Amino acid sequence: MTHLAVHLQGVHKRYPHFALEDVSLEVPTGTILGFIGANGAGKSTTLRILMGLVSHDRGHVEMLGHPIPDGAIAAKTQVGFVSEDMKLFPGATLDWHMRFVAKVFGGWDAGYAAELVRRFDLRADQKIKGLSHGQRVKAALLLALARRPRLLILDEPTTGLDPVARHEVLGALTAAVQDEERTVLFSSQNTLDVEQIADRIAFIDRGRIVDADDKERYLERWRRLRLTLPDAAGQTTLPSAVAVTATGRIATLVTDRHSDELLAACRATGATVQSVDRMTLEEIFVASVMARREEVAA
Amino acid sequence: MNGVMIRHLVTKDWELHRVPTAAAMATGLLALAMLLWSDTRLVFYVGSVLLITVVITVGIYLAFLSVVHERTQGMLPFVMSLPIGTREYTMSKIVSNGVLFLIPWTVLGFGAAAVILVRDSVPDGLLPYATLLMFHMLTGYVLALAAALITGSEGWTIAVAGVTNLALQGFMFWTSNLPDVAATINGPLPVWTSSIRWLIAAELVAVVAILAIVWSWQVRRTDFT
Repeated sequence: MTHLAVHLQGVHKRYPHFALEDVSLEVPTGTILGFIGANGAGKSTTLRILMGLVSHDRGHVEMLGHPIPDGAIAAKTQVGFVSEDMKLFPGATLDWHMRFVAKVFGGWDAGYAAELVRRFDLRADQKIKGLSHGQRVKAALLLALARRPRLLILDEPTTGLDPVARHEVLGALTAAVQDEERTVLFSSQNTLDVEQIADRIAFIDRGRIVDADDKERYLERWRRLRLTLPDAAGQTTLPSAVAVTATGRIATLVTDRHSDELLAACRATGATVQSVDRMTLEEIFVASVMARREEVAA
Repeated sequence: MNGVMIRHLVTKDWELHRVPTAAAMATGLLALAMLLWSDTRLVFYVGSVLLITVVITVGIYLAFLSVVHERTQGMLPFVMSLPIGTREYTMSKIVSNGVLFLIPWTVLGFGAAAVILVRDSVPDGLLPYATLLMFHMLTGYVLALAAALITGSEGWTIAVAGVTNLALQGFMFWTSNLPDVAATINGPLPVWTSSIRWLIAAELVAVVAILAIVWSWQVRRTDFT
């Protein structure tokens, strides 16, 4: 059994106006990885490289133990893929699609498909062109889930969904990985979705992986500290800061290395720690991306 | 190549496009009926134009709907998420389009031949020329399909189909004025002159060459979105 469901190492892909650079990413079997990035950050390109739809210029890509793109066909027998821009055939019914996918994938679970039709409030005899956006997304997801894939790759599956549909989709994803051999890699710009169901997180910005880690560890090591400095110049001596903003003697320090030692180091500069706040994933994402951009600009 | 997957994909295209293709074929049969029972030159002329239009339209429809539309409307990622590669995809498109086009093409071609041979007022000498036109339309269709598969672009496919159909008028004028064709086209018997034989052979070679180019282009593609 392969420990890593997905493994990218030093992947490069250059387009005229965009490049993926040195992308390395590991998704252990049985995990849900939330792949977060702004529009145009490189999420879709990375996932398309994985699916063998786009070939990379350099680097090593492996999916379920198969090298990509050479082993993409073999890998895809065990992968369910849904992307935001993926459409089903408008003139055909959902039932037609289910019969078609069932013929292709031996592992198709008709009972589970019927259950998903009910859970997603879909009608199998309805033509795709008569479905709303949310229903179309759920139909595509149903077709991916009911084949019982070992790996689900979802590119922005919740974009444009209303809160109820989003809840249904996220619930189905969570249920899909009850089997610990099943893995989900899903991209999103919605950090709330990721925070809700992912157990690992990777941030991508401008074609580069900014950070990747276990979600809980992530949330634990990021904090926002509100400090009162001994004097207005005190902020220059603060330790382990991803970002510091100060107005007079009041400073806000964002750190990705929160610990008791850090607090002690702050106090050692003469600062008073007023509060230590947890950060949301969105705040962490924005802080790390901005820090990386400033680092690159410098 | 995975033959089972190609069969699934061909079946998919057959199921999605058989009804419009059958409707077009029914229109073609109506055109044949007009040719068979027309009692004026006008009706015969309208039937001829309708028959040619139907064959051309089926070709454009298939190239456009089964290839370009599938790509521009976002169905291609769904298809390519299946365990297939560019070879399976391309082969399935060539086979499914071939089947869907060749059925009406063959039925209407033989129907036109039957009309020519059955009707006394239509010279049997027209048969080789009509056969040549059918093969020329086959080549035109394959060109449009090639443009659709290689570019995936609505604009390019429309441009190629448009130019091919405009060229049909010139082709009809040119071939009907070839000396050996002009000498036999109104005759009582079909004469397969050397010009007709060479041109039909050239059309077949062109079809095979275009498909070979499409195949070699497609299997080298690295980006398939």
